[in-house]
Amino acid sequence: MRKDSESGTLSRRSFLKSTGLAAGVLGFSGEGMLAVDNWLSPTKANAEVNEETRIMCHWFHCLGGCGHKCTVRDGRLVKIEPVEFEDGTRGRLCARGLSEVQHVYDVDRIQTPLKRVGERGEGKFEPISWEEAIKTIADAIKESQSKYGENSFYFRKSPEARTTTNVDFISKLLHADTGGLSGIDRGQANGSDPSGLTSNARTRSSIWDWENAGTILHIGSNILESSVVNMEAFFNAKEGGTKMIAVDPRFSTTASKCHQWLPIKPGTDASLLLAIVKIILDEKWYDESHILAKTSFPFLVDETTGEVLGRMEERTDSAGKVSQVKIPMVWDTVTESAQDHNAEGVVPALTGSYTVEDRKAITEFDLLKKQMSSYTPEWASEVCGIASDVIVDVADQYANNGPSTINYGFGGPDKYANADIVGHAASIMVALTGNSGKPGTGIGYTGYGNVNPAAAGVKSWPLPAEFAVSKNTVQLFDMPFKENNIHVGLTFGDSITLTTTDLNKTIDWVKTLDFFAVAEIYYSSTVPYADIVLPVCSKYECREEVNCVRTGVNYPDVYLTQQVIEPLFESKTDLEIEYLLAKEFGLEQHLPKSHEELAKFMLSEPKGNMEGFTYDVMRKAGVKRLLDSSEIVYGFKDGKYPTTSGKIELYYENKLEDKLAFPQYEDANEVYDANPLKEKYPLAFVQGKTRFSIHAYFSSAKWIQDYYGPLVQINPNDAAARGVKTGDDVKVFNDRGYFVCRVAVDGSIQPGMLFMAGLPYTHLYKEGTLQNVTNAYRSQRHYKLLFGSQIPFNDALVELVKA
Amino acid sequence: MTKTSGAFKVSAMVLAVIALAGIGTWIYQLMGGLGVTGMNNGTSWGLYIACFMLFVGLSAGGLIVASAASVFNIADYKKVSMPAIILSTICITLAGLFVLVDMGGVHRVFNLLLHPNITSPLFWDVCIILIYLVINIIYIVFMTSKNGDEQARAKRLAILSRIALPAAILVHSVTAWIFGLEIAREGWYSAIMAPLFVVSAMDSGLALLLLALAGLNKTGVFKTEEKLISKLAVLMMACIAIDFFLVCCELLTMAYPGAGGAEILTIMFSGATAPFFWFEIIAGLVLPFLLLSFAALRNKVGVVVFASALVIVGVMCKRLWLLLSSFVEFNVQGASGVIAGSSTSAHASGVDAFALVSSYMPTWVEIVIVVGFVALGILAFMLMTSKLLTKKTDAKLEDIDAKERASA
Amino acid sequence: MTKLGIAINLDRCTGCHACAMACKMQNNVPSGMQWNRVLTEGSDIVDGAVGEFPNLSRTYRPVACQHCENSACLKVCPVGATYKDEEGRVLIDYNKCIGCRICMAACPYNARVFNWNEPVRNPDFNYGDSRVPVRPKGVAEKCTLCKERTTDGELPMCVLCCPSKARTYGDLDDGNSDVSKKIRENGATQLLAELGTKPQLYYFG
Repeated sequence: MRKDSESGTLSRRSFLKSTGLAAGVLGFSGEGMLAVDNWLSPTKANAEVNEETRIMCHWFHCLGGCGHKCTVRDGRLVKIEPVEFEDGTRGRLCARGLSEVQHVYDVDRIQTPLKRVGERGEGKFEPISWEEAIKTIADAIKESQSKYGENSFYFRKSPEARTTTNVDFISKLLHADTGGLSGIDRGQANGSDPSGLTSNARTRSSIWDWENAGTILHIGSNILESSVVNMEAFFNAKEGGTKMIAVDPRFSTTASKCHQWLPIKPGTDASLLLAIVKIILDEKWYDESHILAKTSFPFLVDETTGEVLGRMEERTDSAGKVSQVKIPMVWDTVTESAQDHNAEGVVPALTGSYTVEDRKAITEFDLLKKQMSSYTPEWASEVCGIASDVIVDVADQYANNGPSTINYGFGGPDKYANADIVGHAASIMVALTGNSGKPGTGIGYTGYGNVNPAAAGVKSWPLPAEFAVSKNTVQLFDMPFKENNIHVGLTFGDSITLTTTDLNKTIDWVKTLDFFAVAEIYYSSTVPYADIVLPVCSKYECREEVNCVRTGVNYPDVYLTQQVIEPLFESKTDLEIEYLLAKEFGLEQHLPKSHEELAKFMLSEPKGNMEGFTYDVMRKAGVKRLLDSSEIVYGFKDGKYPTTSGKIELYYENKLEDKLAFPQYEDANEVYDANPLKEKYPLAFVQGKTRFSIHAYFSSAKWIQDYYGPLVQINPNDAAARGVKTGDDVKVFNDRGYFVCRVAVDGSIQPGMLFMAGLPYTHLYKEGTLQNVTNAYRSQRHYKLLFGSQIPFNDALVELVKA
Repeated sequence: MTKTSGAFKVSAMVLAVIALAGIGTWIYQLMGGLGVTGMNNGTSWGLYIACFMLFVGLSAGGLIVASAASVFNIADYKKVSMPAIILSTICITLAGLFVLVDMGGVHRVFNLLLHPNITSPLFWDVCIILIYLVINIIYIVFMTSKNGDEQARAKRLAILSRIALPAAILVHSVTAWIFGLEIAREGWYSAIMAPLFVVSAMDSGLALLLLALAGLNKTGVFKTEEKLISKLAVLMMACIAIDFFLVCCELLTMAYPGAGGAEILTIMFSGATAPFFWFEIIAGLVLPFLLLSFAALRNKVGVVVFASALVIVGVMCKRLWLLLSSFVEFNVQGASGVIAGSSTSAHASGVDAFALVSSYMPTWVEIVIVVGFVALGILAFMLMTSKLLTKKTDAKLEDIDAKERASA
Repeated sequence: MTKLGIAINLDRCTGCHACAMACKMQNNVPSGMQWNRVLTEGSDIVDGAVGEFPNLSRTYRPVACQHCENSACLKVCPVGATYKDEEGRVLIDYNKCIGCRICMAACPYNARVFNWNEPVRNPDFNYGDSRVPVRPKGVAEKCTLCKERTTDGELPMCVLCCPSKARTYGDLDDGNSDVSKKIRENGATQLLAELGTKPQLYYFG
């Protein structure tokens, strides 16, 4: 919180005082409401205990989905423990979840509906009634939609302020634009998903399968912080003899717990992986039988055009849609002719030049060899800073000390302009070495932990077919930069500062909107720009005894979460808010009227691994393990991949025009050695996850603040050169903007880079916020990728000076 | 009260006001808790305990001089027995008060009697301080008593002295053991603590006695020969020399292995407690020793007074460096360190509540209480001396001396 | 005899602070206090490292009361407020404590915290286990090995909540207990063993 006297501007809290609210509605703060009562009789345990326990699922962006056994005493949440399952085992939780005992009651909670009275961004509000707030929002939407069309209304919910699962009705009911693809966490997936090895970046193998691996390569994944509740699997594997190798520019927690750490230069991971591919090819460390049977490497490619040879065939998908697909061809060594790759009795050639219908063709495998020829370990060493013999050694371990797994995160290399190349090169490593389809193998994001088959029989609340979101033309992160039709916005949670870069421009765009409303739990970074702010309950709060059905992500569990406490202040659940809004449009009849109705519907047909998990059963149990939960899952057991050929496809024909059918090294946008901008801004600005927050969430948790606040970390040499020491306030800046916060001089940070964890609420900084300096770069080629352009959060150069 | 001059009244009033301010501040502290002091979880003892150590020591001079006079039959000393014993009584009372002031649960202090733990040096100290206080009071009673003949009175005093002298030595030793037996604190855990405390007690105690006698001379309440003053100064000089020697022994032992002790030495030599350490060594030991080692200087009351004042301030500094240096660094080191505690004086929240090394700065509360208690002590001394010291008692004592000598 | 203790696998400790948070919650520990701290050893910043880039190492060490067999704090307490119970836990009788803080001076591990003020809590009500006594101002407090839980056969909260299962709790006097085995098989060591306080917390890995 800014000091009022120093900055001359009103902080939120002083605003509350100045408008007389401190004593009134809003002054109903955590402290005020919960005044110390006569419990504080000295050295006695709480007499007359009136307490019970409730089951809650703490589902968030961390994807933890941890079961909380909550103790409620006199209507207050006082204790959180891991849930107990029927078999006597306990769930897991982390410091963040535990801190909710305080966080739920924090003074940073939005307490009543608020109406902006100052300028946007000034943070001056006055309390209004729910009726007025909802009507104001509805009127603004109505006006905009009648003037500019339905898609002039932008609506998005982020997990923080979502309190009920399966509730996202307004966007469809009102045909809102939801901002399209988020541009987040699919950077590497853009390179690996087309191969069939990952889906939405996710691995198909359970984290508990790690024990079966000989080697695990952690590429830009700080899983021991970002997925705290899954770390047991890491250590079980490590203690079981799995060699753990981390690739990370800083000595992250995960790096410090791995056997080997490759302190790579930021943004250069692709060069390391390309060199590993070359080494595997040169040393013949590949698995030929796997390549022939399961991959696209024997497919024939036109040497001149790069086109895959094949014949077109009509195919009807399960939905009855007919499309033309290409059946690639291979050189059949039995008949000495080109044949469909999937034809009976075909024994494909791995290498060789062939003439097929007057076209010169070579195998993908040969083409790969040719294209990888310049990616020597020496070259990669120049680019990424890892010694060439270490690169060879890591290639050797990956290829020969298998089964091997590649664990990549949603940070690090995923957040540079060249992320897809990383994912693509990694997929090729997997395909070449056959590290797929058997225990201990796989590739992808493992933060989902168990990767069990989804809970069967949890139904979604249906809306009539006419209700659907508008087709998105400009993604949210591009709105400040591209012509668009958005005039009115409503977000649940902060979908602005968390999901865009170059924030000053984004905020300028938000300020141009006719109307902007935020439904939030805490005084988060976008709240000051809203015209109307709605107070949302935390996930612990509900007016009804039943809250929602939640299936586990990391765990094979299903929850019927219970009310832990009554909604605090004037807050409402997202279902209640959406219902009120729908009512303004006369559409409320399409929504469940209560949490109970929704939950009953969702559990009305439990089947499969939820056989017998009826509403009544779940109402009693609160949480149950799925019936098939004991199995440790690994992907592609049947050898079939979700590609048109059914094999791992490594050659991306649709990227031919960008010369990226096979990966080619490409520098990141800003963070590379030869960038002339480095003279002005010599430091790479890297952000990442911390065990103390989930993006911005938990920024306000006072128990967390004992350990964590806005802090930028710098290498001691860089710090000395700038005359800064631990605890100083520093200004981090580039042409896009700046922010001011504390610095920690930290030996675990690579020279030439800065690191910052989490995204603390803007009001916790001395000035600005970290997104002010981040990069909004995208090139035309990025829009053509599977998941569209990705936001290069880490691809930014900055300078740091003492503030 | 022949000396009840205007100046006396005025100074008594001023002292009373200061003392009341101190007591009032103590009440304030009792209401708010020790959080109003600068102490924290890292440095859990501060100015109060340093003052406790100092005042236990200051009380020594008095009783040792008084009882030595009787035990070793030093006639000169007997002349100043009364002011010495008054000083001793007041100082030990103040020392006890400083312990009470430092307690977080002073209302549960009766637990010392109900649930004593005999392995605790603090419990030993409570016992010995109480015994010591009682001896002092009996001493005063005996000296002012008019019961029995003079010979019987002298005999009673002689017997009491034989108990008082070892009690005096013990009170300092036990106080030393509160610190010297703590294996957790590198800078305290040393066998030399007891002798060091005894000798520090003697030099500072004598210094206080000398200051008191000089003061009494000046106000005319009580006359002490300058010869005796310089004689006592010689004794103090000897104590200073021993004190210096013991400090050097300890320093060498700490420094030589270059291990944990050396780290604490760094704090003393150039760290947080360095000003206190160097003041004590230079101004509290070397300078007074040099001043007093010249007979010409030592015979000047002004020089003795100056040297005595230096010795007392020096010993106070010693208490501070001895106490605080061992709190600065934690045995188990690492970030984020030790959390300060709910002390409001820490003025810190969030990550700032932690500290890698402990720091301590007394607050106004501690300073006002200490100043108030010292004022209370001076006031008590003024009142007691004006009440108990008369030419007559003086003469009587000399009379007793003569008789004792005759009987011997 | 029972001698309860914990063995902590430092290799499994990632400094996640779940144990510290769990302890604070369970035991109603006020603001500005911790019974259980997670230290980044040899570093002046949390999550820092020892050495020069890239030759680095990092060790997290959770530190709480070591429940010493030869407890320095117990001996010095003038009123016997600190005591060792039959299960081998070092405990404090808050009704006896006179707040002299000699125990804090005596503890080599800085494991104790003191209620300098009337305890301040955020949120400002008594959270945690209702069986845990509320401490007034002027008394020392520290880890009780979750006395209220362990007496009833439950795990200490830090052990229950450790997401990497770095902590093993049990009876050190029982050679067959998990904790005894961990200590034996891993050559676990005690913190500041050279002081002879004989801690019942062990570290390995």
